[in-house]
Amino acid sequence: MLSIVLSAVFFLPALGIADTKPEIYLSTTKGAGKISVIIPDFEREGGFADPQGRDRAMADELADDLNFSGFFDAKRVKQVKGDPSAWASLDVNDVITGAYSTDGREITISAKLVDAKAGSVIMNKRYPRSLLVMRENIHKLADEIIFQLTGEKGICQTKIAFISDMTRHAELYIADYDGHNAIRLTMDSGICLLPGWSPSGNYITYTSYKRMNPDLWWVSTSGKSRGIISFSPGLNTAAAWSPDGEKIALCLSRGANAQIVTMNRDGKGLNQITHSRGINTSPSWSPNGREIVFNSDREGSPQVYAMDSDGGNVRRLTYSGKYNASPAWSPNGDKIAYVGRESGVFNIFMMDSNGDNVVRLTWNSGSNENPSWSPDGRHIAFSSTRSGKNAIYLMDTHGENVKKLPLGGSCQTPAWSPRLGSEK
Amino acid sequence: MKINRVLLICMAAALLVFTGFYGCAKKQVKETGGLETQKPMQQAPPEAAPEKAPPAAEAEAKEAPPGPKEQPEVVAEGKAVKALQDVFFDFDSYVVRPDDAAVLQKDAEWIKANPGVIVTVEGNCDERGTVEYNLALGQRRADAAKNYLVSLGVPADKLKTISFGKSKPFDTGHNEAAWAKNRRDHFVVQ
Repeated sequence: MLSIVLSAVFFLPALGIADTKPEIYLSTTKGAGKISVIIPDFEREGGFADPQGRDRAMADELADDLNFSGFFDAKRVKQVKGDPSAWASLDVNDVITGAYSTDGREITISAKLVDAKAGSVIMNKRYPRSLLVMRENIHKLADEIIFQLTGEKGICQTKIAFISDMTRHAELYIADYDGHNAIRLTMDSGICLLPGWSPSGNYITYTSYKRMNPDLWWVSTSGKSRGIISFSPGLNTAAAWSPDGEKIALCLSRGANAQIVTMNRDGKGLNQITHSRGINTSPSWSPNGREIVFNSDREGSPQVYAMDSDGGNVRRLTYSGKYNASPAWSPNGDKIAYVGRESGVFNIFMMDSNGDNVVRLTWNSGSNENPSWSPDGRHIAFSSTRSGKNAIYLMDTHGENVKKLPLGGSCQTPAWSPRLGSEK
Repeated sequence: MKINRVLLICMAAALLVFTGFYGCAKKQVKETGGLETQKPMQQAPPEAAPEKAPPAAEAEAKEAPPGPKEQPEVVAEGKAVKALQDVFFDFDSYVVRPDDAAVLQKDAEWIKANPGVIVTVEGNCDERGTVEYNLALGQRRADAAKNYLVSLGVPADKLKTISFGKSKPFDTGHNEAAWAKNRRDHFVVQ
């Protein structure tokens, strides 16, 4: 009974019924005011040492999540001395103290967010769960802290779908956004490519050569079920779901040159929306579903174009460079990320959705391809050969805060998930 | 006496090592998380993390899976044949060059002389294009060879095409010598 009451008390802040007014920091530009936070090692109940190092691992993961979000400057320390009333002298905004008890199978985690200057507890959270989801609960905690202090929903519980050849074949995987807990979703022993998420987060589409043709397949994100969506002879590639989840845009060849079509999610209702010569591929929907940005070489070289989602009003967006491709519309609708090739290598660029204000985001770092936006529009996942083998990296929209994901094999074509499950 | 004690110590040590080993193996997969690069990742087991499964399962049950009900049959893989020689292409191009046209003429003769076979033209690209664009460029290269063979009298229904984009390079080097070998149509026979 008491635990139910306690849980309700801890749960209320997550519902937005906080007992203090959240400090809103909306800017993540370089040098702008970040929330400074100190995070000591989590304390194990009873003061027992943890040979597994979970006291440090959980605090590290939390600090990484908060730092990556761009809102925080989180520092790790071994411990914080004294009680909260003395913490104003630490000269930080907040302190986050974590504690846990574990028997090796179950772990109960609790954490307090303390306003260091006032010495008061802003938020108190508890996660009584299996050890299997320890990392998941720290990501949940990080998102709850981000929301409490910024009013923004974090992305710490999102996933990245990607292709890796670590089994010697290009298969589809998903991992936590920080690269942990990777799970293989295909066993096609052929070639899988270009994953795309349904807006619900329940399904991932991908192209596979399982039937000796690049067909469009789907798999549930649990990996439990799969099937085929489009299997026209030739290309069924670069599939992108409309934001309402009703349609899929993709590239088909069907014995002629590559065109973009839309189809209903059941694979029927085909509507060809490009009708030019040359190659049309790589569609990406605007977040309001009314437009599609894509790659076409109809004027002689591959460039980025936009059109209405029924194919009307085609207009070219890129005018510098001889090869611009793989466009990705930001979730906020204001920007398009894409790649530009120069001297045989690709770099990631960003422009306004009308083509203005081109900004280059990667420099002298191998070949960088397939940008994919985080659902909050503040980060981009991409592949890069900067360290030799192709690997997945994350960066913010200034090209900073670059993080390499610890994944095996040669990895490519990342797709950042929407927000999933309970934190939508 | 001495021998028994030594034996006892050895047994105890063996027991310790054994249980230590077993204990470690049990913990390894779940707690450290991340990617074990020593062995291929296992496919998501249906019963993993039972606390997590229900929401996903419910959500999936409410949202029907995409795609049609009818699913097509599987197709067998083809094999290369020495007589059918590859043809190669210029950077960013799918145009059949004169030397390659001569190779295709020989290929056409072989195919016409072997009426029972189905030939698949596999179009490929070097790594200097995007994944999406190169899939389409590889398709154009395959189609170009097929169209030329058809113009030489090969029945169209004897020829299939497939593009691998840049996913199946012949040479994984990062220089012009390697790239030139990868910009190719390769032929396999069913």
